Amino acid sequence: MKFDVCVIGSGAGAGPIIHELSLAGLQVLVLEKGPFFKTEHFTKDEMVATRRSVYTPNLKNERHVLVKKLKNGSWKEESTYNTGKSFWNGSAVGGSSNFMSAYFHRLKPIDFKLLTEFGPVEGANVSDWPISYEELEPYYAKTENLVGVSGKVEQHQFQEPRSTPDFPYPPLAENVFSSWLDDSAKQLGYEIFPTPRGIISQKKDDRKACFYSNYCGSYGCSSDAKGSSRAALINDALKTGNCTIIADAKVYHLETNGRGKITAAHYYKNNQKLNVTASTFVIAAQAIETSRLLLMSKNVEFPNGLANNSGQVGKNLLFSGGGMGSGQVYADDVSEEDFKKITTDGLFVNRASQEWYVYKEEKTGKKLKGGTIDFVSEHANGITKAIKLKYDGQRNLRYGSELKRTLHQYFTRQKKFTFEIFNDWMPTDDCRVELDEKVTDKWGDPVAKVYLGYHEHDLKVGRFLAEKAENLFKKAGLKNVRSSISGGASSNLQAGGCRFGNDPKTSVLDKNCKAHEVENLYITDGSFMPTGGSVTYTFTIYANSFRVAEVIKKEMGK
Amino acid sequence: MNNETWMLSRRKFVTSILLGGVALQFPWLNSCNLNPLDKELPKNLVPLTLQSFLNLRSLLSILFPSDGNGPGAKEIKAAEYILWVLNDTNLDPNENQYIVKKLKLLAQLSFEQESTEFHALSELDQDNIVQTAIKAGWGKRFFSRLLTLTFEALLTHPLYGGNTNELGWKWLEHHPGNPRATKKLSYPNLLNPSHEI
Repeated sequence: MKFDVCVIGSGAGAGPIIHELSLAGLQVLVLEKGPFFKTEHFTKDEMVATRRSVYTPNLKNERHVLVKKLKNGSWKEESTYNTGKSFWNGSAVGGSSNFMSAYFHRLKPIDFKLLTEFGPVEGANVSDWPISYEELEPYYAKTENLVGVSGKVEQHQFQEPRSTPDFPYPPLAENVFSSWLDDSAKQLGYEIFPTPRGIISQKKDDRKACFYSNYCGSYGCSSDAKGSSRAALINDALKTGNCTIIADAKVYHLETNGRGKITAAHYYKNNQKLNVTASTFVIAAQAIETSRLLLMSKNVEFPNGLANNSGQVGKNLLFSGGGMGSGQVYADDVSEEDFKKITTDGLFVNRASQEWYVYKEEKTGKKLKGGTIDFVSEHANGITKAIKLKYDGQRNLRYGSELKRTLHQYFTRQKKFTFEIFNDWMPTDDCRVELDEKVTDKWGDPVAKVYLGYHEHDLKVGRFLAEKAENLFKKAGLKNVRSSISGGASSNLQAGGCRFGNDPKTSVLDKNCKAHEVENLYITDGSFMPTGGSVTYTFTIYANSFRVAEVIKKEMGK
Repeated sequence: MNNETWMLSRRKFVTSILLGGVALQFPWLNSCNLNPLDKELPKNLVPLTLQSFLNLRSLLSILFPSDGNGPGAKEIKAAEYILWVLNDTNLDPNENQYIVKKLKLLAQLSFEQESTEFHALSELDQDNIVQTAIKAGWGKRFFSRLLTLTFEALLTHPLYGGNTNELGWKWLEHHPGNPRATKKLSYPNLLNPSHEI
């Protein structure tokens, strides 16, 4: 069977394409590397969600080579198999959107013109986007409706313009700690507001409202309240009868016809090599794997990899600048009633600040791009919490009765709250994807070698924001307030590698995310972003994918 | 108890000790549950020897003791849980081999320092060995790894073999969330649920 569209991947970048094109009557084939977990497969089993490779590939079979820049300027290269630290996200139908925490902040108009607004940063490849916020705005609104976003719009100095007055779903129920933060922010003169979440607070068609399980991020949602690509979009696409999903299908090569057009996608399934044809191909395999697939699809026509005659594929990979911090409320410091309230399971803190989305650096008076602070509860994962207590402040191993006392105190007599900082990850030559020359996966294909170099500028901004967040926690009466800002890359916040732009020499994709060099290839995961903004990426990936779906529909006469 | 009965019981006890001691000398007996002194031993100890398993069990009781403050390694069946981990073919074989090797090193240290098996020592002497291993460097990472697995035994669903009667959850007032794991949806049974549509 020849399909109209073949989509590689099924996460947030793929879901809108699958949904929109299937509903438009096009025959859509989805090749997803991971398995097809259904809602009924998801339980709150910490072993499955975080302790073993169930939602991610086993490192024995598939791994990355990570290349990190050390403080002395040298580079250190290590396979994740050797370190045991996986760099995968969710690998399943719906991708990592099944397991996201779903902080759904929009980008701001200023994020689309970082170079124009702030000028160049030495050592970074900052570039404006070829589209404006106004062009993306209708698709943010569409995502809010279709994927489902809950929250409450409260005006603040960096509130982005909206075509609708508010989110389609009311805010999720909140922990009493949110009101502590509100009071403290008022006293400090800080602006905080309710965090929009890609989690529905009321029923939507077959999807039930959030049931406050207390286990959201890293876990699949058992009510489909979380707006995963699978629950929110793919399930509806399947109902049209126009969408075919092949799970456990790993695409390893895209074949071209010698005239800049893809003719087939080659994939592994059940130890067989298979291929499929389609008129149009869309890759949304998450930034690193998307670049890897293009680099693996070398041929005479594209000797450096598909769509890579510009040499731009894999370049300017992005993560998120920032880090996190925490503070604790001890049972002995508050009333029994208050402690009971703040330790109530499942309720969200849902507060954020973007007061310093742009700020003036005190020392230089220079305008700098800042970022977002999200305030949350410590994750309820028991084993993860316990592991953090193995060592004391001097890195001595705790064991015996001392360890048990520490564990019991931590679990029963305190509550930890955290904050997460998101600021721009400067695109640089030091952060990129290549193919490793020695390490291969279980199929014998080269794995992605990921250079994780960061820019010092990101740390400066992160530290500034962390100080503000710490002030708020201290004002709210929290103890042991601390933060950690680093150049470490979070694998669940990846973008770039195939940036879009108007110049084919400096970009892989055009403004519609179509490859400059390949006439029937679109890329709709976060790869297109030349800069990532100072929020998590999923919401913008969804919105942009809806935008590109419109383009493909028009191109295909729908 | 009259004198004759006492003598009979004592003879039975001494005989069982001797038989047990003899049994420990044969490697082919070490890998199965033939120690008449311990009915609580798992049926299959592979990849550990009997001595290694007994050492592991004693070591875990030092690292996570039954001290009256919640369950200890014994109550949550941490050693049995780790044995299950060691038999999990989905895991990195090198990492599991690491545990086997370090248990041998522990036994060696025990013989060097106290001329006997680790599990035969008093708790005080076992603790001394643990501290020596930590100071030597290798113990820190090894015990840290065992503690991670002990925490898994403490806080995962009882269907994985630890957390007996949810003792770990109850002690730490930990709420594991719903829906809970089921055998069908647990690891590793969940690894291949795919089908095409």
